[in-house]
Amino acid sequence: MRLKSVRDSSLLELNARAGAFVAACGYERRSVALSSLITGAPEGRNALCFSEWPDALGRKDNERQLLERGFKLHGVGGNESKRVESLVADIATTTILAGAAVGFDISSMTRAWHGAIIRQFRTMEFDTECETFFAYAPAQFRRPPLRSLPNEFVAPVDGFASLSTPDLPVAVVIGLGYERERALGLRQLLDPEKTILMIPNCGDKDEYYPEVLRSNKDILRRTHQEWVFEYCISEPAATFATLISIVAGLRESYRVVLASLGPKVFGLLSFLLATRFADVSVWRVSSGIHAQPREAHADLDQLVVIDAIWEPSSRTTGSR
Amino acid sequence: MEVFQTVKTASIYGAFNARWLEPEDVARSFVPTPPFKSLVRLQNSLLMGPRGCGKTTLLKMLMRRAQRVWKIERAPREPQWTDYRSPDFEAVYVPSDVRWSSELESVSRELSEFPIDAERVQRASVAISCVIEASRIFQAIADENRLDPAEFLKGLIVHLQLGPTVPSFREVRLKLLSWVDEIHSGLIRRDVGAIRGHLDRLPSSLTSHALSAVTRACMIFEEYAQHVAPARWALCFDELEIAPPWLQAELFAALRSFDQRFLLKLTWSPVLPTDLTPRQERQHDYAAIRMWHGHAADAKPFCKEFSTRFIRDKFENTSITPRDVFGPSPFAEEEMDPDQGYGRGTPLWRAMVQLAQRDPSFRDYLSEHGISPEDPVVDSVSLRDESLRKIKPIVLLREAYLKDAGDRVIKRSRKSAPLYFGEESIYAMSEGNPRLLRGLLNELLDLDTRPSIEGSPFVPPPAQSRVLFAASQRMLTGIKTYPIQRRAKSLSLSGLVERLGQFLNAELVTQDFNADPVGSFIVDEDVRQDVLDEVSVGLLIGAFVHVKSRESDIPMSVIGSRIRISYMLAPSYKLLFRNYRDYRLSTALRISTSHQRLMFRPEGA
Repeated sequence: MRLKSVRDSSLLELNARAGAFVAACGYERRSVALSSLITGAPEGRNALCFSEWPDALGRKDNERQLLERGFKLHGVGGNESKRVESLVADIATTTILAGAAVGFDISSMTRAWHGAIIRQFRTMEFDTECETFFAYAPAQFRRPPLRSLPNEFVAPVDGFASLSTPDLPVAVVIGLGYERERALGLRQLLDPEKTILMIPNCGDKDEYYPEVLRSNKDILRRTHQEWVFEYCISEPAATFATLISIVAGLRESYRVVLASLGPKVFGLLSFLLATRFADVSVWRVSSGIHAQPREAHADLDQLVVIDAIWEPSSRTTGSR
Repeated sequence: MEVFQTVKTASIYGAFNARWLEPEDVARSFVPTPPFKSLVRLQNSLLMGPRGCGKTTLLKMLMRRAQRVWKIERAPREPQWTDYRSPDFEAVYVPSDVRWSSELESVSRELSEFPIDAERVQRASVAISCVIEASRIFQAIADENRLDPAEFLKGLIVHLQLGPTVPSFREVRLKLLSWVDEIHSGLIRRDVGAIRGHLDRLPSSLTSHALSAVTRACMIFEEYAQHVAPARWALCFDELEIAPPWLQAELFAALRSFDQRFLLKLTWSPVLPTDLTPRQERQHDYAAIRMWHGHAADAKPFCKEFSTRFIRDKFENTSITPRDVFGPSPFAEEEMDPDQGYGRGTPLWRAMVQLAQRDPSFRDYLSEHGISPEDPVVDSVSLRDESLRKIKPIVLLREAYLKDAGDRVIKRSRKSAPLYFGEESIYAMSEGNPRLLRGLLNELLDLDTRPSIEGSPFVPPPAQSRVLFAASQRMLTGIKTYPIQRRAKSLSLSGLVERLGQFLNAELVTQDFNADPVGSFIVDEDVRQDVLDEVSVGLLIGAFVHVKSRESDIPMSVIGSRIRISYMLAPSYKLLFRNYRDYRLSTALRISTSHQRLMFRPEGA
């Protein structure tokens, strides 16, 4: 399928139109917060349960809550994309053929899972348009960890590696997060000719914003101001339009890499965008085995829902 | 939003990476170095060095477009470079970078159950990239010689089995790229059948030996354009150290035996791949060209030349020098007037007197050498050279970072006067690495300069010190964030650097005064494999530097090599730009924990 449109949506629409809903079950309390608000899809509730850290923090209680809410649980490794693709294919095929939409809570999912979901929709084919909802509940603010973790995995996400020959310089678009040194490390590794930084900023009450600036002071100082953009996570459609504009302008002269180190909604938008431009790579940076469980509580007041419509590939032509 | 001062890269000297420069611009900013003389010889070459050491610059300087600028714009005006001759071959530069390498690697992950298909995809990608780059060279030769390329292109289309293609360079390249797109589409869908179908339909030369397609294309050019075709070609593969293993193996094997018309110019990390190149064949098959400097003094001529050009370009002033802008480093030993530098009342004299008052071990050292701790003046030139000159940097360092605490000497916590500044410090920290040197100069000159007494722009030492310290910290960040798969409990590269950095600092600062401290390490056979792996990565990314004893000294393996920590890290660990004596790495690691306990005695404890 080919991505037709991306627009801001709401929980109301998701509940009204989703015939299936896929959440994640991990150790953070956030992973089950949204499931309590899901009123639709009684027969199509599924949760991808992390194989890692099965007893950490609130994991057991999260499983119990999801089971009580009628979710089927599927064990999956945080880096496993093939298994997620397979599960999504099964769930989506039934749901879409029944004329319903598929909803996802991406809040606690890994970027590998995000990529697998988008990749599956990108490669499936139906005769009609299909609709997907992606809900994201940001975590309530906590200060960034004092100790920065080593990077074990810095590479393209499965299915989002371009094979473009290296005859153009690299430009990297980094969605900044508040973990120190991540962005600078990625930049030093990729050694791009151009770096574009995207900073989440949702106004005066956004507690993350000053932390993001503080944690990325060095890379911000070393990046031209004209290539630093701010976006608000509660306006995903506008952010998506900005990203398209930036990437479309860059790809004539650069091989573009998108990397999300911050809010997961930016990562999801990166994957959606890469379905439009096959020459764009999406990378992830992961601490792998070095990551330690860290609690996160959902801030449901900031809930974001994205509505993405897919159309049959045959209706439109491909990209470059 | 907080406004940050940004770094500007206003000129060709300001660009950070030669990979993104056009060959013409590489030539305009090129500073010839001895390795280039070796590289232009009619022999296979292996350019060895860490990232950023200038390997790409040298490969690009072999290209026709760079040579054209060199011959027209540079050589006539700069007679000092006349002994740097131009290559007698046509260079085809095959670019690579971390992104492409990672993407090729991801093909293996995507097709993990079909490794043969995965390798064929990689082969096709590499071969297509090579032919595309070669086509640009053919086009340049045809253009320069006003040659109608139509017949050659028809031949290329037939013999490379490109199928129905308009005979233009552009269409040939687009056709090749369309094949990459088709394979990529199959990869996204994980459709092995479709991928295999595409691969089977490709001309066999694109999925066979790494050099098949590009050499065939060159030979077709020779046949169809005999009067303008070069007698020899040089296939220049950049960043081979991060290429797929099959490509490394085939290119190294080709160093030993390949068509004499084709030379190979390859880049590699600082340690020879012994599993790929048997030692006894090295001298005959190819020249290993070392691109790093073990000693600070070795890098100085290049750094001085490069910095002078950079500064003159920046200030549009043809007489200004780096010395005018940055001044001398306090650690610099040469060019110092003995009487001015070591005499009574000089800064060094004062530093020695003050240190001797607070540091009993230094007082003892002076006394043992017949030098008065209260008035450390030496009349004998030989004694001065033997003693004071040798210990000067250590004295300055200890004086800056030690203070007395009753009967003990402990680390100083207050801010000291800056030590890391000046021309020599900048050169040493850059390690003679053009990318690092460019970066440092850019940042230093981005600061507001003030006129010196002589009226030249001058960057004050405290400002220099801040920039150099930040650069040092940034390198530590790069080391810390460099991705590497390892077991949870193994020693990380950043952990290794930290332990060795602190060990060396203890040698210089917190242990008893020693005029001949440890400054480098021999990687011995007792070092664990996981540490050896980290040392290899450290050498590749420049965290460690191999310290050679002779020009021809190329490390054949990590074990047995002598290494030191990059001088770029000196401000972070308070180290000096000297290699001093070596020490077994395994022993250093074993005792480093107790060293650290000594070093971090809290004040007053």
